Amino acid sequence: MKNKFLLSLSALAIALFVFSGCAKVPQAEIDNANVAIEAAKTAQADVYVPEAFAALQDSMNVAVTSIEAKKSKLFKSYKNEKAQLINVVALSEDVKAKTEARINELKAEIQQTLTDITTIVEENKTLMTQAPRGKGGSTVLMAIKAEIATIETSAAEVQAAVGTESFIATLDKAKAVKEQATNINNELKAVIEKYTKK
Amino acid sequence: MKRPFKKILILSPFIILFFVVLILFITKDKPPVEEIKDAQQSISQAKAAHADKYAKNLFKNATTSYNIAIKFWKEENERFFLFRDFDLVKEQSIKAAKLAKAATAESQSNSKNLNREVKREIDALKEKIDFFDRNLDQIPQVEAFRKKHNKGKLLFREARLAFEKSDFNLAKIKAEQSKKIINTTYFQAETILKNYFNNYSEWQRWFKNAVNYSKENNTYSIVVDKFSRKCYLYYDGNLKETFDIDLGSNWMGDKNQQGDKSTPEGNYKIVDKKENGRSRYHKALLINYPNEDDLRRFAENKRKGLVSSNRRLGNLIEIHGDGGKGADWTEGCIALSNRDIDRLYSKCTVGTRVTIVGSLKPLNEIIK
Repeated sequence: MKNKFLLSLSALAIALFVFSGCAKVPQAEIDNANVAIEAAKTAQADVYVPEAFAALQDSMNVAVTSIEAKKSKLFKSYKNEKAQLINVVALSEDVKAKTEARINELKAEIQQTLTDITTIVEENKTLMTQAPRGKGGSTVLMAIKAEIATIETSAAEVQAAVGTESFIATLDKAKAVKEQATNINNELKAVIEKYTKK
Repeated sequence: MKRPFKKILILSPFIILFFVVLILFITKDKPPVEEIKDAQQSISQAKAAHADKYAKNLFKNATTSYNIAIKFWKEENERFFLFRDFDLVKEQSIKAAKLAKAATAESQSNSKNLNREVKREIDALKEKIDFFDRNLDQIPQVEAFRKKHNKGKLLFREARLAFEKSDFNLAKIKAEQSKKIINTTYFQAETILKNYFNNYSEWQRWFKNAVNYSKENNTYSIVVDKFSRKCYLYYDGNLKETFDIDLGSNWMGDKNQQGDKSTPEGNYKIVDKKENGRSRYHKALLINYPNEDDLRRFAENKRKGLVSSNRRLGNLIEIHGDGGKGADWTEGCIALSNRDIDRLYSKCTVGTRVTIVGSLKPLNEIIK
């Protein structure tokens, strides 16, 4: 009699356990995914590959939602969520790799732009010697000279800024300097051409 | 008969409890999965619309509400299933979706407005920079702040590049930094120019007198316009020849002292004609600089302390050859090409009137 009573109680306990859930939340996978996302963020994925990083965060959010939704279910299995979380980790690695690649790309572009600036500035200096003592007067010649000096200073500032700020910002600055140097170059060439035709 | 009844009696509370729990489980508060998903989607769309940049507050509030919803959801899920209440989760997720949608709309509107605003600012800046380069950059006094001006130009280019990349916030920041510098240098240069043109009415008077003199005396008169770098030859009140000239590097303003590389302004006459090796510059027409006005002004400047007491006014201002370089290279003289000085030299005599003015055109015609 006593045994049967205990058996009944055990059955009820098992039933309650089943109700409240038998599968365990994939905490280790959640933690791994969070660590992986954090690593991607530390690598500045949100700055250099913002769209890929947003997609990564979306994937994590979907997995978390799915896990929380499962917690309210009678019979639950976190198999799919585990797979989703493993995928998030893999995606994080991919995003991190893309970030590094983008940074390297930007670094190379910055260096190339700086090399271009040096070449253009050198050419501008040579063109200055060929220019008709300035295109409209020595004041203008001095203006161009001052502009070349500004370009050289700015190029040095860009070089010094590499790594101290976002590579995107540095590249933008370098591009602006290059544009200014190119502008002077075109101006000088046009003047010399006009002068030669005379 | 007695035993099964007793069994049923013992088990019945458990069975009842089991069914009660089952019913409660079935009818319990459902988690707001759809609302959460809607919030997630709305936030993703808002982010794609750059709401994190152009509708910062709304976007921040949306993500905060979403995070609160998820936090509440997790907390509720920790509780025994019978005691779970998802009302707050639902409320926060609905709020998050609503805010995210509003952020998307605001971001689209703000970026559109910002685009227009920054474009206007960039266009205005470009106009100002172009004007400066065209009209003000040749002012010798600009040298002092040209470096600053160039920095402004560089920032302008950065603003334009950011604008082209649709980074309107950065474009606005750069444009504002550039505007601050460009407006200052523009104002400084414009002030110099305006101050210089304060003498315009006097220049006009000198010019009219010079032309009238040539008419009344059936003779030649030379008029030099420093701003346009032109030398005009009048005869009998009519313009006969126009020549290009080179000046001193500090051409703007009257000559104040020896060695200031400035070309004097005033009414002069030719006092000597130099050729056959008497001039270093092919041929030269020496003018009577300093005249009485120059000497009086120099003495006054000395008295006022504008010129150091040991400085001299200088002399030997000529209209000479070896010019046509398209540059301001002289020590204050007026240089013409050798071909032009030959023509001018042949027509002028000692006594020919030479009038040197800052400009024959008014400032508003120059600053177009």
